[in-house]
Amino acid sequence: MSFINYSSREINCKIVYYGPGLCGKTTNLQYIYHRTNPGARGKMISLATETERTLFFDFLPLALGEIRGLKTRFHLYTTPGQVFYDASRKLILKGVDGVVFVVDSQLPRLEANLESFDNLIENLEEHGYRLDELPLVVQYNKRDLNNLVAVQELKSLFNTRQAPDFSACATEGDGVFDTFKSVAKQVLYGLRKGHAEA
Amino acid sequence: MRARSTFIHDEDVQKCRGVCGRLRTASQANAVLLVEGNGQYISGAGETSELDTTSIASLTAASVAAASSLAHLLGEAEFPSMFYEGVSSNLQVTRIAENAILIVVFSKQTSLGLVRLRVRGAIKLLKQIFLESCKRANIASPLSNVSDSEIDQIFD
Repeated sequence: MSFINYSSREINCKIVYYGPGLCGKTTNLQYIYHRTNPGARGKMISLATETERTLFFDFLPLALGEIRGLKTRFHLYTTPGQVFYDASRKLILKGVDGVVFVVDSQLPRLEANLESFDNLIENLEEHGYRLDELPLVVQYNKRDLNNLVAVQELKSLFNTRQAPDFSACATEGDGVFDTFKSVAKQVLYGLRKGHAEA
Repeated sequence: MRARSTFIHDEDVQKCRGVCGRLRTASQANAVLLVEGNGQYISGAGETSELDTTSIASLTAASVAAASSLAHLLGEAEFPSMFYEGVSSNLQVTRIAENAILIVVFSKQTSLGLVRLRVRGAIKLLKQIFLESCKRANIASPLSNVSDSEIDQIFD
C-alpha cells in the first residue's frame, strides 16, 4: 500500500522481489544499486548470514523523479528464499505495491520455483492480496547457464495471467532494469485509478 | 483491484512534528522519529539530518513486525515497545497504533526512565492526531489525471 506524505510531497511505494533460494533476487538489487546515480539511491542494507544468504531481507531505497511536483520513491525489498524462512517472507510482503517473481531457469530448480510461487500466493492471501490483482513482473533469470527450461514452458507455469516478463542474466545486468521499470510503471499506473485513505 | 494508498496531510504532519519536538526536549533525547507502519519515514525532530532516516524507518518497521510475530508465538497480543541499548546510543521504539511507530534516539545524557515517561505522554497526543486524521474523507489519488507519458518520463 503506497504512502503519500503531503507534507514532504512524496509518494512511497514498496516492491518485493520473491523467488526460490539462490534465484538472483539479491543480485538484481545489487546491480540496480551499482548502476544508479548515488544521488538517487539510499544505502543498500542486506540482512544476511555469514555465508551471504539472505536472512531477513535486502533493502534498497530509490528516488525516481517528480510527477507534477510529487517525488516518487520506491523501496525495493527481497525476501529470504530458503524454505524455512517463511515467517520472515510473510512479514516482508506487508504493504506491498508490486511483486517481481524471479524464476531460476535451470531445470533442476523447477520444483523449487513452483514451491516458491505457491508460497507467494499463500503468503499474499494472508495479507488479503491476490496475486492476479497486484502489479507483477516475472523474470526468467540465469538464461546464460546450461540445462535450462524453455521460456515458453516457464511462461505456462508462472505467467498464465500474461504479466510483463523478461529473460535475464542478473549477474550481467541483462533484464534487470527492464524488470524494475516495468513493475514500477505498473504500480504508478495503478495508483491513478485508486484512492487514498487517511 | 483498485490500488490503495494511505496519506497524511501536511496539517497532521505539522502537529506530529510539534509533539515530537516537545518530546525530544522533555526527554533530553537526541532525536525523535515518526515512522509509518510499513517503514516509511513521516517526520521527526532533533538531530535527524545526521541520521539515515530512510534506513532506520525500514529496519524499525521490520523489527516491530518481527516482534509482533514473536508476541503471537508466545500467546501475547503485542510487544508494544522495545529498547535497544548501545554503548553511546540507545533506541526506544514504541508502536503508536496499527500504522505508526515512534522512535526515540538518546544517549547517556538522559535516562531510559525519563524517556519512557515522556513517550507515554506523547503517545496519547499522537494517537489523537492519527484518530482525527483517519476521520478525514478518502480523496482521489493525486495521480488520477496524470498521463502515461508523464509517468514514463521519470524512467528516461
